[in-house]
Amino acid sequence: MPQLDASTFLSQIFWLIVTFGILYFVIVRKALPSIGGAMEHRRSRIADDLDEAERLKASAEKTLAEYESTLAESRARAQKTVHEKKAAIAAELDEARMRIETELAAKIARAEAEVRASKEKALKELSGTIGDLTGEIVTRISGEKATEAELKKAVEKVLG
Amino acid sequence: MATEAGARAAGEAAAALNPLEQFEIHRLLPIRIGNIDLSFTNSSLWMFITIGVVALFLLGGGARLVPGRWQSAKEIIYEMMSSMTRDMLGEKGRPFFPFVFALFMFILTANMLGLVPYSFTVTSHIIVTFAMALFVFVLATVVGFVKHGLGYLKLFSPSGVHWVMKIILVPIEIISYFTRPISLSVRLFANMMAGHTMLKVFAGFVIGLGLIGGWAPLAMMVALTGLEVLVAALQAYVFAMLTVIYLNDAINMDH
Repeated sequence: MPQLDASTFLSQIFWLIVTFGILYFVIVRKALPSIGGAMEHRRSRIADDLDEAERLKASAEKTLAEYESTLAESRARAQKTVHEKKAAIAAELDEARMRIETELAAKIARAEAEVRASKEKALKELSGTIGDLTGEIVTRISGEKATEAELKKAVEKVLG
Repeated sequence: MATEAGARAAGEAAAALNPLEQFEIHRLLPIRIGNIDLSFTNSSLWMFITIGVVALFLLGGGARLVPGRWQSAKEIIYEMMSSMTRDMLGEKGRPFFPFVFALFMFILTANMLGLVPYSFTVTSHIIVTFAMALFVFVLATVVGFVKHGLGYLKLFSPSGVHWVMKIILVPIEIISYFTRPISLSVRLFANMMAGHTMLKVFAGFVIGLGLIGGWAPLAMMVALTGLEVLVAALQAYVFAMLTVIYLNDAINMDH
């Protein structure tokens, strides 16, 4: 077996140390910084891009929130306006109705007073006429003349 | 003269069919320092090819924001090794990440290149895998003693165990600790050697059976090559994983 030929051992170990030493030097000085650097650069670039995306997303969300708050504000304002207008119209209506009602009430009261006055006047006239008539009737039937006070008293007693 | 050449040719033909011939080491450039033989061999050549391929793979492919296939492949391996060291060792294991990464890339590439016909598999030699495993072992042990001082010896004494059990457990722990470099290196070496030997044996069958019967072992070889690709990647991963586990024992001692 050629592997057990000890005369070649020192040469193999020597050249192994030389070649592996060179390789180690090349790897440490050149290869690893280049490969690792490229990977690190990519990693940081991806992280940066992710940060950027995060930032944009946050700003988009902020805009959306602003838009929604503006929308809500406008809606609230519109509702308030509608409310106020409704209340104003209702108040106006109430006022108008109240005015008309008081006017009507006044007219009714006036009319009632007129009616009552007419009635009283008519009654007064009637009572006068009835008194005269009664005096006449009393005079004709009994031949006696009743006094004005007696007649008035009697008429009032009948008419209430 | 003619017979000598013929004999050499026959010897070469026999060697070509020998499944272990692929593991032989040839001196391409003999170097001797005193008594020590440090010749540049085909093994050394393939070590250089290995690190060349690794460097090409890791330095090419670009470093763009949106990665292509090549860059993605690099980053997947980087992420795999990085998460492995981070998950097991935590922040304290950060300095060991380049070593684990280099180890994985070196073994993976050496294993893969070994599958190319006529190539040489660096990791099919026990001395290479053992040198790496021993380095990992010494590294973990030194780190353990530097971090915890003599407290690192508590690693051999599992907590919450009765002292009678400890009499049995402590020697087992010590033995298992010191066999780590052996198991680590033999696992990789044996996998590589067995796979490549088997491929060579089947390749010999293809030649031997020729055009008529050679198709069956050829189909087998295709399937085995697929399996060997899996083994090559898996063994590299296992080696790196065990390295991290040993370092975890040394750094965190959560035994």
